[in-house]
Amino acid sequence: MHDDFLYKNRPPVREAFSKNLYQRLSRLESESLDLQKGKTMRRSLNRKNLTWEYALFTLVIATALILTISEPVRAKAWEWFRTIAGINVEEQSESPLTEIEEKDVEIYAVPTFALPAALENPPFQFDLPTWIPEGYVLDQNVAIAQSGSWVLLAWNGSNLSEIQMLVEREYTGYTIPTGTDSVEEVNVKGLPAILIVGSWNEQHQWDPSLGITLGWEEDGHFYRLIYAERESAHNTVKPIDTDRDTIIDQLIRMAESVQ
Amino acid sequence: MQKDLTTTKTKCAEENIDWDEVYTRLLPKIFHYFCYKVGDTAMAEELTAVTFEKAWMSRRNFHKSIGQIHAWMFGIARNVAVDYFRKNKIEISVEEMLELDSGNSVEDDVQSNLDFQTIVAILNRFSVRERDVIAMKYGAELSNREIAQLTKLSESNVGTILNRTVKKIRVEWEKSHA
Repeated sequence: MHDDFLYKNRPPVREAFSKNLYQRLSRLESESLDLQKGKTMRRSLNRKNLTWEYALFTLVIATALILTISEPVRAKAWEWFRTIAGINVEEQSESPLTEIEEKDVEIYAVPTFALPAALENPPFQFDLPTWIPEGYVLDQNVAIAQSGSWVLLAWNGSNLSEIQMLVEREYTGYTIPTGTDSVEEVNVKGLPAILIVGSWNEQHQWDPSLGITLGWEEDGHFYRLIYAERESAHNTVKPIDTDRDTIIDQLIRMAESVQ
Repeated sequence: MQKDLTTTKTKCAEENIDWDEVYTRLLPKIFHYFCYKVGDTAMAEELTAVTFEKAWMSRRNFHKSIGQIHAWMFGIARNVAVDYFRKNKIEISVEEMLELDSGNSVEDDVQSNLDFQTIVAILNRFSVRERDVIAMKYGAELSNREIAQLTKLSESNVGTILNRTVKKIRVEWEKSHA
């Protein structure tokens, strides 16, 4: 292909740069060992964490969809565009994933931290609920965006149910794509909040039985409580078995207790 | 070079990875990948350092089941590049950089560096996808199959893009040396 010039003309790696970086990595090694002796920040790859990673993967995909939904998609579904409790939503019959599959969507590994360390040094100040449904245990791993713009915690229930709490530093006005007739306004602490019933399934269709999300703004932050139930195998999200009204009541009570 | 990275015995035991070998083998490839991506050797060094630091700090997360070590490393490098361009909003304008360089003494630069800047300036006229594929092929020295896996393009599509883009670059390159 006569492409030698593309190899031959590359700048050489400076020896000083190579040596300095090598030394820096060696120093990082020492610091890493010291850190492990002090507080355990690094998680082990056990089954529970696989669930956590799946949740993170789902979140990142959802966030990518929300943030990258294209202008034509917006225009096409303009009649379904609504603002509820100050949050922009777009109700549509098909997941925007089908529209953006051709785009180059990057998937990032989200850094996770041990709960005590994360709460001790959060990227921004936020509050936790003082009430959680019976049987739920706060996961000891916390995901924090590299940008510091959001934090994700989760409570795990005994029946493979989970409640994630996503706190964004602020709501930036982006649009949340949802299924048709999936959104309604409710009250949290006497103020409007958004309730989304359902989630996108693997076939890019909205399934009203796949999850429930309650979102509201408080102290400038955007809080979301996301309820889902998972299969024991493969960690896939399954239709909710629990009574829907009970879950909604619990999410609202949990949101009311954030202080 | 001292052998600290391996002798600390902190490598993932079950994977038995020789990190010294990884460092020696992949440093030039990742550096050249960033050279093609950003067109600036100083910034390429910085991004290369960030990539190795990220990889080194999360090396225990690497498992052979997720692929070859170099594919894992280049996954990190691509994310570093994405972060860089997001933070900087726009890509470095190599043409602007060349204009700035033209005010300096040409004797200060080695000819090979000028030639590379010429290539980058030519490359800067191509699409992001074409530049990315070129950076992966001629910077990172990835195979067409590896590029296809990273870009979600078909292997034949990668080959076509490379063939077409290299031809165009070569025409411009020859013009600049006529």
